[in-house]
Amino acid sequence: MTQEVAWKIGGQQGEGIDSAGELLARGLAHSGYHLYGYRVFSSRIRGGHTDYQLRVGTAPLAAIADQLNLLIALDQETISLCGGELAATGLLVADQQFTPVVPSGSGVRLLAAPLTALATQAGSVKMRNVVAVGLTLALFGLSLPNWDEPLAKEFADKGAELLAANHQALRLGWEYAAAIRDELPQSFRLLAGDGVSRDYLTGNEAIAQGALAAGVRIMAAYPITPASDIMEIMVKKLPLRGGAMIQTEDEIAACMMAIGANYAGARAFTATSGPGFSLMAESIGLAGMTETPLVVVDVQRGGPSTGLPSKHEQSDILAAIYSTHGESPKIVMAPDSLAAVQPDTIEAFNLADEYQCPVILLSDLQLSLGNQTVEKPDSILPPLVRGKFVSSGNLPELPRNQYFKRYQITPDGISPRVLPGMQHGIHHVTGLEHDETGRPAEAGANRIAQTDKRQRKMAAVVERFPQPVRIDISAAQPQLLLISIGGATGAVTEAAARLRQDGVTVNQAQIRLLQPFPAGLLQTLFDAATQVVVVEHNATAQLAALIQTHCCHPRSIRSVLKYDGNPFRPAEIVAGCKEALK
Amino acid sequence: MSSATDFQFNVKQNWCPGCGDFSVQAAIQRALASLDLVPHEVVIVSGIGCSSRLPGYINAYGFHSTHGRSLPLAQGVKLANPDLTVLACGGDGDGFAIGLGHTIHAMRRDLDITYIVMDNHVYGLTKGQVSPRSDRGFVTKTSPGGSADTPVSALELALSAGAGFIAQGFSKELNELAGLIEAGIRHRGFSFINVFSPCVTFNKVNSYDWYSQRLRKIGDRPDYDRRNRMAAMQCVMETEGLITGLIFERE
Repeated sequence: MTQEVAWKIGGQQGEGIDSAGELLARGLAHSGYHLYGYRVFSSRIRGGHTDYQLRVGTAPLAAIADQLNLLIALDQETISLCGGELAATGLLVADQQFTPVVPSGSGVRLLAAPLTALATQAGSVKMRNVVAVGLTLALFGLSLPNWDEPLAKEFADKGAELLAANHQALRLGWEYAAAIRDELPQSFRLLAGDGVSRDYLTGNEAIAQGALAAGVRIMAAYPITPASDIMEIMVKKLPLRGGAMIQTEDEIAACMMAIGANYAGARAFTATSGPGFSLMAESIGLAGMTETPLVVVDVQRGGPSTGLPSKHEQSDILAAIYSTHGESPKIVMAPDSLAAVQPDTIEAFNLADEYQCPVILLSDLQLSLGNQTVEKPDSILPPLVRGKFVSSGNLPELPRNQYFKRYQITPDGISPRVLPGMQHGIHHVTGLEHDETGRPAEAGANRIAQTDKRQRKMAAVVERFPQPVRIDISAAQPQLLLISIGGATGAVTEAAARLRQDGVTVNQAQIRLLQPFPAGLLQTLFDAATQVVVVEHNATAQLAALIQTHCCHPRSIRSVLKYDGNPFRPAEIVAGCKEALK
Repeated sequence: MSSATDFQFNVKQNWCPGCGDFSVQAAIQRALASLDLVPHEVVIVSGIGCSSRLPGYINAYGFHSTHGRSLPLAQGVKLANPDLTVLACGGDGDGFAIGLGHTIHAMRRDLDITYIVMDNHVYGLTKGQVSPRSDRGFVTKTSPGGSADTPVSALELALSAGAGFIAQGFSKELNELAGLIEAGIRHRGFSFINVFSPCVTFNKVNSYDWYSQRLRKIGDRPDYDRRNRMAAMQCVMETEGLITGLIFERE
């Protein structure tokens, strides 16, 4: 019996790989197991290799596994691409139908299973994926009834006949494997789960939940991998709340529409990935200059240009901070775990309103598309804060030919905010430099006063922000300080635990606020540590560069980088850290 | 009752003396008053260019945004608060060059916004470059050999993009223009009003006189059916777009 199994199914896009993974996961999440799921897919609709990896355990998981215990291949390509990921004690299950070939000398144990034959017996070859799930359940030592509900959900709108056929496929797969499992490796027999039913979510789903909880009424967006899920969720949910999701003609329109809606008082946002984010750069500057709240979600993928659209990377870190021309106040934040995404998304909207500036919520493909079990939300979400709003009733009558001082110089830099429609609140808004009433103004003294006012707003953000750096301190003077952001954090946490088991003293810090930068908080950690290692998914060590811009450290910072499009495996980080400590 | 003076504000325009945009501003103020609207319930959104400074000269909520992007921003305003009267405005560079995509899609999306283009066939704020509305052969600093490109036909474009309200005015005809803007605001849905608004500094060809000699009026065609998109297209093509009045309005 084992506490943890790493499973993967692979085949061609359109063969139900994704739904097999989802089906298996839903039942496991319902049965009290912790899960981490990660899909590999191509930017193609049908055809092209795809796989779904699922790590199942009796304790929380937040990273992909180092090695697979069980690989199910629906085609030879999956064996070629993923066979090397199998542990020495692992098992390859491949469909008999294509006469699977295992590379000679690989030592991989193969079970050629009649997936096609059993699916055909159940009614259609298309159900190979469900046969494979049934087979998996038997190898895990689990029984079938917990999958009734996930199956019914999967086939809810496809009719009773198809549902019955899939039940049959699941059962045939299970019975086949149950009959032979004593002859197979036993390393997949799972210890019992804790019986707690958990949600199984992606980061994108959590972003959408956060936006809804924040009271968003308008989302404007343009489809792009890997952010489109968010608009697909919002288009269903927003109309029920009197709002709307608008699919615009491009990302510039999406960003400008969100700015217009925020200006008029609705909470509004857009979500995109690198190429769309580049298009939004000018508009983000407009929001900064006009002090209009704006939330932009950037789900990073492999760049530059079209790059690796369906692969993971964290290479927009510096672009998120610097891409807009001029000097515009901006908050850039990066949730560091799936559990943090929903509350952080709510805070993004709060911060945009409180500081009247653009807020970039930086996610990444691993965090946004990776699935994870999370406890059902019972934690208290952040309250909604709207900042310095002036209600209509409190506005004194304006003398003729005088505008409301929407850009009033204040000690904290934040000016009173009114909305169009309010009597005695009329003012001008322009991307030009302007005076306190918003009218264009070029004079030097005013320019300095307004620039300073905008920058002054950022002074309080680090203190206001919920855990700008999330710290796990286990030693006063550790040998190693491990730093990460976003989706890489799960693997880093697991690596830190292993390093500690190996006797290394490790502190860990996730930077959750990238702009304004929480330099003071980090400096203390740096001063205590012998070696700093920054783990990030890019080639040029952007996070390390950012740290070096803001912090002093007597010793060099070492980077562990990965930019092949795939998430870190914990073992890679352990190896990188040991190298750095040599 | 509100009056045009309610929408006046004591700012000196940075337009050249004789610029067509003065009349457009006056026509908008007159139309807003005539509809008995109050300044704080009106939002005017613009892009970048000489004409896009207009919202700053009117006593109403105004948003002077980025080049070519007045329409998406205006649509965001309208979506967030449908009770507001939302106007968008800008020049022909804003609407037919850098922002052309937004123009077509705003017409398709058909939110209740009135879009007024001050069309002078030239780039004025940057001091005299060729525009997508410049006639073939038009000489500017960036088209020294004369413009070689086919000009965008504003009205044909609007007709084929499915706009529900399409009109064209002329700065010299203030009464007609104010009436068209008023009708555009009344129209429920997206309304597009192209205005020949001469640039007296950088366009010495398409002058007030040039237009006066060439423009025809829809009103002079007693049998014209403004509900008929096909007839509207034919009329626009026959007159090469040199016609003013309400060209098309959907039932």
